[in-house]
Amino acid sequence: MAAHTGIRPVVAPADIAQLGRLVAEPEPALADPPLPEPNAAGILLLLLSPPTPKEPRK
Amino acid sequence: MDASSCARDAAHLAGRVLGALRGGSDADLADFLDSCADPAAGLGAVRLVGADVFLPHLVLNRPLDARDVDVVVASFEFLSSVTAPVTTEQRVLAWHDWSTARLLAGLTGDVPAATPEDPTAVLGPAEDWQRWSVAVAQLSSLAHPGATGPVVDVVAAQPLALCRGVVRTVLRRDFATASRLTRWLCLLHAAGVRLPVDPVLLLGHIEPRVGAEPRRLLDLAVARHLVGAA
Repeated sequence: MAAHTGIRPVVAPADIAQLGRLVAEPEPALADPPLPEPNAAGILLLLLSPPTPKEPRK
Repeated sequence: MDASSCARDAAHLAGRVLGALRGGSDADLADFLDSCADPAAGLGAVRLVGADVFLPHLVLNRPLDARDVDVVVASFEFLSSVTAPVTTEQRVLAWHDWSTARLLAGLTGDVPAATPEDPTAVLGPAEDWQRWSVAVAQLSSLAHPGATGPVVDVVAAQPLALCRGVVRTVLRRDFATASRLTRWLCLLHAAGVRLPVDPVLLLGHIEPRVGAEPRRLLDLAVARHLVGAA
């Protein structure tokens, strides 16, 4: 434990505020929400597709 | 103290604690501190990981080395505790530090730390469960095996707000916050509190999505332990 023996106690409001920000980590403002993905191309193909063939009249 | 160095060192320290929980060698706080390029950031990292540095001692009953105690005490000497919190961040830090100091006192037999003010001052009303649950997530280090205290009592009294909060984080795909809240959920489950969300299913959903951040993996390791002990 040689590394910290030379560190003297300090009162550093900026450092304590920094630590407070790290501890009180907020949730991300914008997460990664799933977005709606309507299958527009599929609906278009359905609308433009030819009607069901009918039996020819005799 | 450089914030990015502190966060990086905290991730390193959390990884060491996680390794110890998984049966590896001890976290060895003194050795961790010696390995830090900036000792000030290293001491800040000890404070940031907080009570979680004692998890191997709580969960696995590993003996607490006197050098580890020295490091935690040095971290409090280097950055003094907030005695009269005013802002929300200061209130969160006060409770976070209280949990660390309380566990240290419990393990060493010292006098327990003074309890901060009413926890509702930091959590707010549970009716505002979106904001409330984020504050609960910020205090996730208080949700450890065998945890008691005013914050635990307040959270345990609001299982619905907690479940709403964790489901919201999952829907937002904010799995970092979700992992911190899952810890609380599993603590309540271990205490026998009836929950409208299955914590085992929740853990199974979050674990593959949370990423590789060691502090969040530590949250989930604690949650998994709490569920296993229930």
